[in-house]
Amino acid sequence: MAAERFEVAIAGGGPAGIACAAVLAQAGIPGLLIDEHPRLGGPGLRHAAGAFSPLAPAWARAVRAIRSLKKEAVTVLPRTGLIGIEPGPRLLLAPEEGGLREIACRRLVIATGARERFLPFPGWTLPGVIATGAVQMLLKQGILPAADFVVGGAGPFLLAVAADIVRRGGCVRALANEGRLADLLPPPGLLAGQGMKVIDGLLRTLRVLVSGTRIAHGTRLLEARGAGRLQAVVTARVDKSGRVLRGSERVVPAAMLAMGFGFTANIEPAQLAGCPLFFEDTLGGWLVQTDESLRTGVEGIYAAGEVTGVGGAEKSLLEGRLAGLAILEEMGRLDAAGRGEITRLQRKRKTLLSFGRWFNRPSRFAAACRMNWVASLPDELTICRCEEVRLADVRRALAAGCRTPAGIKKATRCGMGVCQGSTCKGILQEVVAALTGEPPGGFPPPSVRAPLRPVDLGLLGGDTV
Amino acid sequence: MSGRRLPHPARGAPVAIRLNGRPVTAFAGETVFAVLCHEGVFALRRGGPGRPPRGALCGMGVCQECRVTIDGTPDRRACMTLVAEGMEIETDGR
Repeated sequence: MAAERFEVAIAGGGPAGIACAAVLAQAGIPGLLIDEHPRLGGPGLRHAAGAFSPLAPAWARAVRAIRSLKKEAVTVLPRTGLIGIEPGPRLLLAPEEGGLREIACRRLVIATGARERFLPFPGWTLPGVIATGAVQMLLKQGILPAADFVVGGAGPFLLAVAADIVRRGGCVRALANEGRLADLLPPPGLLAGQGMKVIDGLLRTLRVLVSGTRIAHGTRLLEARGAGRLQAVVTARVDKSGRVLRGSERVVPAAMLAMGFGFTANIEPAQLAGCPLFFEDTLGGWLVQTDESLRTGVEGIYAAGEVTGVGGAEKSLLEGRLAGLAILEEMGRLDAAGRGEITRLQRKRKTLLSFGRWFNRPSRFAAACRMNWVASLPDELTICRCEEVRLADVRRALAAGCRTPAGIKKATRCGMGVCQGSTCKGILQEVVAALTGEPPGGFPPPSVRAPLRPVDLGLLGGDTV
Repeated sequence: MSGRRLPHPARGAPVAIRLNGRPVTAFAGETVFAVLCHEGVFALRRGGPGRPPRGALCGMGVCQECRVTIDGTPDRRACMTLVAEGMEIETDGR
């Protein structure tokens, strides 16, 4: 297959990818921007209808960046999966229609974003139990997917989604946050640096409270119940070490459970490219290591946005722009003003990383809680939804001598199904940490291989265009 | 039907599609996942012991739980596909 050549390829058309493409396009660098979805913007923006809160100026900036791309010489490949990266860098792409494409580029920017993090509980596989982010995207498309909801899991995003549901006329019967209220309060330093976001958060919280929604902190999703689809959610209070307080169980009828436990970065493409990683739970878990100019440990490969630390759209927009400017500087195409902007962006980035740490921390377990959490789970609980691996299988593999998630993956097929562990990798990490007493970052992430997404065998084996 | 369409500043033109053989009106710009939710179709496939129904989870293209058959092609992600005039969607979670 003859590779098509581009100066710069950008993997991911969310805020980081579009900001990077916009900088390069304005400098006349022909870039390639690829995304899996038909629409640019990433999950947060692709369904937005154009009216933005003045408290969220980052979104309006992102929309302007997308509009600017349409006028510039950027090649955009939507509905295209990135399935492999080889040294060069060379990319293997799987468009939804047509054959595989191979791209050779001088520089690659990995801006593959984050996904929602889930923890399992009995009934979490029932239809009607969906991600908080999925509910938000449905609302942005103008669809209220159910009349009544429970919102549950851990972290501040629960409040944001509950606010969106009640604003669009849905009823939130209960909000169950496993974390503590104290963890949600922003530190004073953050108030100074990220005031708008904090005010936005407070207004949303107020909206949820005014709606009469019962907000329960220190409260776990114990079980989702229903025949064929969700009908009720059982919640229970937990003590400070994560033990369920017996007698505190509540059964809340609801047609939909919007569930999420924070976010984790989509590092897999960077991992496949051999980029060195690091672990920081309060920035999202495993992340791509970069220098201040967002260069990864692999020559020619940059990382921008959530993959360097989960911090939201504003951080991603900043990093996309920063990576673009850093590339221009390397190419000798940057003037003094541009170099000054790099310094300013690098400084502002530190504030946004602090915001990320505050945002992610309440969705993560304290070590003691993790052990009591796993001890409360039934043996038949599904851990890997694709390969139907149960908690009992994981326990058995541990007892047989597997000591790491990678070992358990080989022994049980946990994470080897069609989603390639996107959903269960983080769960397995928590379960193994709890059962071995190791910290969750104490094991290397399981290895990844091409293809990163399911592709037709015919495409892989046959001729390509 | 359990979902409901809300006022929307940028709703597209009506699009006629078929969902499990039944004619349904959707709107341009909506994902197949959004239309399934509007129509109250939450069970999209069957999996696990006893083959219980499974539904979409992440809504952002990674979990692979929303795979449906679109225009005869199996395993298309409902959350990553926009509706189009004449589209035929089949779910096997019924």
